[in-house]
Amino acid sequence: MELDEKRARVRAQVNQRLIQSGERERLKELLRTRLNECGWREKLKQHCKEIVRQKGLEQITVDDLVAEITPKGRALVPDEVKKELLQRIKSFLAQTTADEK
Amino acid sequence: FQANIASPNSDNVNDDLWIIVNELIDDLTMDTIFSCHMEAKMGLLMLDEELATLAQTELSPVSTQRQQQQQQSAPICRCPNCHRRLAASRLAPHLEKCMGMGRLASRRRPLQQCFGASDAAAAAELAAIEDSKGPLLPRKRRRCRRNSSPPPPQSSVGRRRTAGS
Repeated sequence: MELDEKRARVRAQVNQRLIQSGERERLKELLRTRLNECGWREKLKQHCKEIVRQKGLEQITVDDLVAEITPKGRALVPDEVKKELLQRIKSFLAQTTADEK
Repeated sequence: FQANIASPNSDNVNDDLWIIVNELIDDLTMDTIFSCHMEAKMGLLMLDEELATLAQTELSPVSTQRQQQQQQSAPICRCPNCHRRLAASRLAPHLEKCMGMGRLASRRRPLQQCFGASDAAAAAELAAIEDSKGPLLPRKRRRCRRNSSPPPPQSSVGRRRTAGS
């Protein structure tokens, strides 16, 4: 439990650094570009249409879509894109710690 | 912060960074979900499929055959006045009304003047309405003024009564 709390604090600090420096927006833009190139949004939209057809247009809610589509969204992102993002974050953190030294 | 971020290759740090990557993906997923939900509620989500189905129906061999049959049975021509497409057999009666010539069109001239339908297409539409529903204005008796006789006296009905009369 203590370790989990510590890790959560570390994550919060990393997020704060990313947001304050503007790196999080740049990462998001990079991710958006990469996902447009591979047609991720269109595939996700097709899944959304399937869910809407199953549940019905009047009954569909955002919560239904979030529950069904969020796991699909993560699964549809190519591994290379995820690794590129991870590498970018690591480089940013390394740069940040080097600057502070 | 530096002490907490251990070596970049430690599993814990990697796991935490993967969580951050997934959060970025979830952000973009939520954008897509919100826009799809809005499109669904506005009836736009399936629009592209419906349009594609409609286009396919119009371009289907059955519909083109039907169009060809229609064209073969009645040649289509265009009115030189209002540029409307008509069957050739209907062109002459249409021109009668459209260009304001002919026996029937002359009766409708007062109607066009009253409604300001100087536009030929609008005049043709008014003529079509009158054909289906009857005359829109009561027909007046024609006054023949060939002689220079004075007009008949006006009736007292509807005349304004002045004070004292």
